Amino acid sequence: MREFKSNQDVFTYVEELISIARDHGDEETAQSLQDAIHDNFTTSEILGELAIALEELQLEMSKEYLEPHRADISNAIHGIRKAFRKANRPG
Amino acid sequence: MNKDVSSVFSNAPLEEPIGPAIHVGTFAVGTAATIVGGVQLVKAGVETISVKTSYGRAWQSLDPDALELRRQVSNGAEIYRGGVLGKTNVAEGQFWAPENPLNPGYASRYGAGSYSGPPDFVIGGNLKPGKPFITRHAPGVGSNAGGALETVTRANGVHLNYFYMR
Repeated sequence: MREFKSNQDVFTYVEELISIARDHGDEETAQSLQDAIHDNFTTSEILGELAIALEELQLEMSKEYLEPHRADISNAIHGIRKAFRKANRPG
Repeated sequence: MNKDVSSVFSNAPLEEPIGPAIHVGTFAVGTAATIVGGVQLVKAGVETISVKTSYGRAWQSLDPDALELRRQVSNGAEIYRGGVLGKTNVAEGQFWAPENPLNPGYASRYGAGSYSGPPDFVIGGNLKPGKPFITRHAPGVGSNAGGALETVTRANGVHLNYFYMR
């Protein structure tokens, strides 16, 4: 399973997912991920929108090409959620 | 109080329980007001140190840098956000940076813009008086200590001073 050690790791993985989605003609998924990463200019918004888009992907069961990526997608969501919890620690 | 309650629910003639009933009623109203007041105080406290966002509640950091930014923002320091026209929230945006997104190095400090390039627009403004806000380090995945400082406020919590289009 892929490890995410930084925000950049998540962004790089999402860029890969965008490319995979496009290769499978899934422009809708590619666009939703791209919008999350390209339309926002603060880390919180980028990660927050990515978590929402990735959670929607996780619930999407009809796209077979995503099957090999489910564990990584889940791990990316987990990493983002943990980052938000960490940001909210008092000091 | 127990004696008053017993009197109110007794079979005594109607005129006898009136006094105790007033006493019990006053006590109940007073207790309810105390509870409601307490809940409101707690709620007001939570609203002072946290802000509800689309990605969960954001809490005030006690990190010295975050507290210094809080002091500056309270005193009118300008805060900024960038975006893509027609897609990114403008005045209703909740996340603001203490520096202009067009500054060199912004992308690496804020983990943003490395893919999208510079923003279409930049807005800057000051927090509206009395609007709740918090300051903290932006989220960092993995062992990252966290990103650059950010200010989080409610939608439309910032008075805009300018709107710059590229």
